[in-house]
Amino acid sequence: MPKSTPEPDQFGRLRVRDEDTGHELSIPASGLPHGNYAALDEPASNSGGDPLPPKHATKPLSRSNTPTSGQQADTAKEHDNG
Amino acid sequence: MAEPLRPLPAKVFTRENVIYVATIASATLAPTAAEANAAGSLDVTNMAFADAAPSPEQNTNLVEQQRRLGDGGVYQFVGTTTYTGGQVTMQFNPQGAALADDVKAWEKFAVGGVTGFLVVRLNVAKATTPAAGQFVDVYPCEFGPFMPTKSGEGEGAEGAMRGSWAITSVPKFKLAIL
Repeated sequence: MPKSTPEPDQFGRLRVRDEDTGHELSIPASGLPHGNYAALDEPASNSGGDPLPPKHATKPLSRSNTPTSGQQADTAKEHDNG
Repeated sequence: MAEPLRPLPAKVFTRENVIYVATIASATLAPTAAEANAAGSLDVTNMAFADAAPSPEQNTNLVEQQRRLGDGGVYQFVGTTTYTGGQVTMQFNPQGAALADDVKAWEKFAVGGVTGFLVVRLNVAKATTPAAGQFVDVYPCEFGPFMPTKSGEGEGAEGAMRGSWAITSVPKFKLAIL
């Protein structure tokens, strides 16, 4: 028997896993049908009413894949701070 | 003297896409092709009206330096840069059935407080699937609440939804899709 869809939280959001990317994120409940989402029984908003940050399925790119110069470059300090 | 360089024009008329992507994993903000093409992303290119499509702007403040006693001129500093979203009007069918294409944008954005990224791709035919290596500009964004309205006048009027969107963090430009 399929699990029932969790209820939206008091701010109208659901926590979902995007099956296309593997990322977990908070979306408005009305957006649930408009994506390949699996609803999770987890909090979607913080106590202030803002959506909780996404949990990404993949780790950020390794340093060797990021630009080392120009506007998009990450600084070494950013990486050293974890 | 040799003929000066004249690069070919990068034609963008009907060759631009504005894609809402809910979340991007990379710290550089470069989306993956999977993120850009996910069913949860939404290409609003054919939903937003041309005269009120998402149009990110940047304004950099120029401030006058204090004139030193011996200066014969007044010079400037570059001050803060403000990134702004603005208003956007998109197609909306007030009588559209739930889950239908003509209410897709409404059901995704209308409630407000919807965060994500606007990915703008220029100079690629709009029906081309986002793929690794294509360059895009990425704007972290939040959509404000939308209200139903009309777009156009008289005989050309049609159902629409209008709301605001903000750029919420530093945008990144000319990122290659991963």
